[in-house]
Amino acid sequence: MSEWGYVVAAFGLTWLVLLAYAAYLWRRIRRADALLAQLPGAPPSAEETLP
Amino acid sequence: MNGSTMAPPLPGVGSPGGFETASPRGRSVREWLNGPGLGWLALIALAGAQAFGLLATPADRDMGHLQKIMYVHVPAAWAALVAFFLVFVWSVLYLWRRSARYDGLAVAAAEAGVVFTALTLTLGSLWGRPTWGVWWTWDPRLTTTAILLLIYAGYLALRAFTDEPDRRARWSAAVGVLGFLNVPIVYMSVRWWRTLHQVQSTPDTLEPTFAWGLRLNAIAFLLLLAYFIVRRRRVAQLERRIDARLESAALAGG
Repeated sequence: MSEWGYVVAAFGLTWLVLLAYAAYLWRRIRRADALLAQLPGAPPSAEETLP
Repeated sequence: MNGSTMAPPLPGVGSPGGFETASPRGRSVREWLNGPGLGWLALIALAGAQAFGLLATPADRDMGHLQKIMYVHVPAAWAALVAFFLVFVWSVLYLWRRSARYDGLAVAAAEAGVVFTALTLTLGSLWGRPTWGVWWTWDPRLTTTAILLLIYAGYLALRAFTDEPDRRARWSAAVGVLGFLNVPIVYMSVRWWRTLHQVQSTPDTLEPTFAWGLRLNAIAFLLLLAYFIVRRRRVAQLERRIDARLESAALAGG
């Protein structure tokens, strides 16, 4: 591989890893948001249950 | 084009924020961190800094164009060391205050640090093959960095295998403090044991154009580190809320 081949591989790998990690975080947030929306809400507080 | 209608620069950058506290007095720093601003800034800074490093800096006298790998390898290493320093600080704060907030921040920094360390080692390998003739050697700098990666991978594994939140936070904070002991060893390894890996360059030993390439890329990597910590902390917050809801539901049901 030429000098530029190694350089391009290094810069390309940097973008690949950083974007892949950003995508991984995005997927985790989206999944957690969806799960949270499906779960029943917190039980009503004492004030909310007052007549 | 209006910023609010643009596609996010990085996945999830425009989604609801990582910090739940909103200032009623307009756009606070936290709101800015939660919005697309940090992601856009990191992306633009990275693209600009890499373009500068690739196109505006001359070839090195000894290494030729291979020297340009420095603009990604060194900033990735710096970002990793900063991340582990933050793990140390937030772990100490957790042990002192026992606040889940610091635990969430520590794990966010640890995970980002592992990503940057793995990247550093891989980029070093790509640089080492044409300059040293090998993909890997047991040079003290490489070895101590690999140990650093294992320590913080172990930190993340420990968290994955511990269910009880308080115990998980306490144990991982202890690892976060003790694991940091290796960071100064990594940094000083090139001075204590002079082998293949070169010692740190300084602005005095670098051509000014090279130094600027390094500075700009370091800023871009630190912005990315901040972005990753904000997003990963958001994951930790959501997971805590899910655990709390499940616990409430179980108590209500039982």
